[in-house]
Amino acid sequence: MDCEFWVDGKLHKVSLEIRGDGITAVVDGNLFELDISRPSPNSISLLVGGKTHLAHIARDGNRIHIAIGASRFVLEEPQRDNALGALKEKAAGQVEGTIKAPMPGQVIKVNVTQGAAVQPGDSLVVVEAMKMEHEMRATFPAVVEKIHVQSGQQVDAFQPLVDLKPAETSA
Amino acid sequence: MFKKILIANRGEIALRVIRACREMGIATVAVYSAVDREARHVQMSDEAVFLGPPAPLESYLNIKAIVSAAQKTGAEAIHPGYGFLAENPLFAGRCEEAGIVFIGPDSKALALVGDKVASRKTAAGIGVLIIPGMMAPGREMRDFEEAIQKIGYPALVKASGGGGGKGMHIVRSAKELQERIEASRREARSAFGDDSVYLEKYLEQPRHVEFQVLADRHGNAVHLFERECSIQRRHQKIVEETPSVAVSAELRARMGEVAVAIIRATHYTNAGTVEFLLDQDGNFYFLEVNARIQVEHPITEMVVGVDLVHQQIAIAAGEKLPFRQEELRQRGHAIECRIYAEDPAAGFLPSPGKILFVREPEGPGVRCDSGVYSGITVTPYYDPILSKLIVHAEDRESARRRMITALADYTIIGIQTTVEFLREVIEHPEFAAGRTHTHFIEQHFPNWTPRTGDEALLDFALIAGALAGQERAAARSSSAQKSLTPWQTVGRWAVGGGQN
Repeated sequence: MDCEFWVDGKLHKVSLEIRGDGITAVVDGNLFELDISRPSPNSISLLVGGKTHLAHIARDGNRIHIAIGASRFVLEEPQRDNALGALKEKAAGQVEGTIKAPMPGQVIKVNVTQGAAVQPGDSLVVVEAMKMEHEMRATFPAVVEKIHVQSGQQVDAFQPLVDLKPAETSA
Repeated sequence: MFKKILIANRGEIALRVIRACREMGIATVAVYSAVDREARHVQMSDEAVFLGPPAPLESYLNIKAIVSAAQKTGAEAIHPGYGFLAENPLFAGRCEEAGIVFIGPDSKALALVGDKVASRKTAAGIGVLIIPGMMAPGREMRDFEEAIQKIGYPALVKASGGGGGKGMHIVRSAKELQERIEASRREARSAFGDDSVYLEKYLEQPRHVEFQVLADRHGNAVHLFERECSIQRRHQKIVEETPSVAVSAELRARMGEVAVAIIRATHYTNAGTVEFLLDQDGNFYFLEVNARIQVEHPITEMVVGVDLVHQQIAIAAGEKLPFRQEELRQRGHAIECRIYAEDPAAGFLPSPGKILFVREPEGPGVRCDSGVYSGITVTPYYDPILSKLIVHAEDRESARRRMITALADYTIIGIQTTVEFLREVIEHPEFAAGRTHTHFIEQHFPNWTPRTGDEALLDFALIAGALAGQERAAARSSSAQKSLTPWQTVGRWAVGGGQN
């Protein structure tokens, strides 16, 4: 069986062949002979060349999270739709000056009005989650173009809060 | 002794109290909000009562609903845990009126020590050093400005009715003063329902040293030695240990005496904690009394060998303390790490979400007080604590090594947690040397990012991923299952078996 995973922007190929007494794996052209056992539904123990590696595995959509010892890996199964979605998401994130909620929470204060000029460090919106306040501040001189939220509103992570338009520098 | 206790809390502390009750043969009643239907404390209790919507004011801070739940279920006492209503004199008063025992000090003592300003006055009155600052909550900006004239910057805004670092802000210049006070008021109002705040001088490199106390209703009071809780982020402890390397036997005896004196002066009963800041010259300043079971209580339990929650319940039931001060000893060293749903690489931003998988460490001297399980969703409504990892060993270095090993074995997949960060804190040479202070994290971990996964293990991760992917494919097409699933064809291998 052959499969592919994206890890940190690199595509890796794995092929597995199951024999009666073990598994032959080829990872990016390197050959491994191994035995496996399954101590729990979320864990696979690999025995390779006399050394053991206990991997804990959990799936989240097309992403497979793997923990081996203190190391963490996220393997992404290539999926055409998801890949496109991810690209779109990336593009959306690059919209200049859109301040987004850092985590799910509640907007408790909007400190600016549309059209207001802001300086770096000026408080824009205060979001609260788990009883801690997080102040979203301007990082460059700008004009508030649009305010997407109001005080009291629940927001999701990465939900746009405020659009900023960089102030024209008096050149 | 009580036959039934209601636990007015959630998460790991609710489980801690439920376990104590079960050990004492007491039935338990859990309460829960709409987002906690699947929470562990609901599953582990004998009975459970629904409180209301997720917002704390409508659920875990809803005094009326909680008192009525106790009356309906016939609970004779309420254990408030920590946070929420634990230090709310109004709640303790309501319990008293309803004839329900509040497991903690009475409402009068609670009002006195819970009011940080009043308790500072009491401590100063018996000759205990306090940090310079306001002796009453400020009303107008002018009050704060006048205080600043006396104490200077940097100063600390603190909530009068608060604890746990909530509502606490450092002010370094006049420009920040008003904004920080307002933020502190808002946080205090939403966390404790009381927005009074005051200012005190901010010390630059102190250690946080606190003393555990127990006082019964027959006039007996003892301390159970110190805990050092200097490792903090956002003024909230994340690592605690006992004994403290900075506390000599002589200093311990003096601080312990002062702690007990403050408890006596405030007519305090039940379990409490007297907090001090210890400066580099060995001066200690009274901070406040925490009128509750503390998050970090387990390290004291490990080292002193006393179950503090059992004692809380016994004291509330009117029993006498079963030991005297001179019978108490410290044995070995204990460390606790708090595991939070937070992203240490992003300024400890809360990281709610679904826990896909959790495996807790185990072994000799390892205790994990946890409130979560694989598959549970951590919501943004409450404190982000997931669990507490506690180790106990013969001495500090052994405990430190045990903690490093236990943290390396702690796997939580699906949300960001403080596990990896804490391991690096415990591994840090300055921590190993015992050079801890309350600004340790800012100083040594200003821009922390997680270590990348060990490159050498990536191949094995990929193989494990491929096996998991294949199993899923096999499960989907059950007819092909036999020929595709390796678990059925590969027998268990023996560790140390032959080379392949």
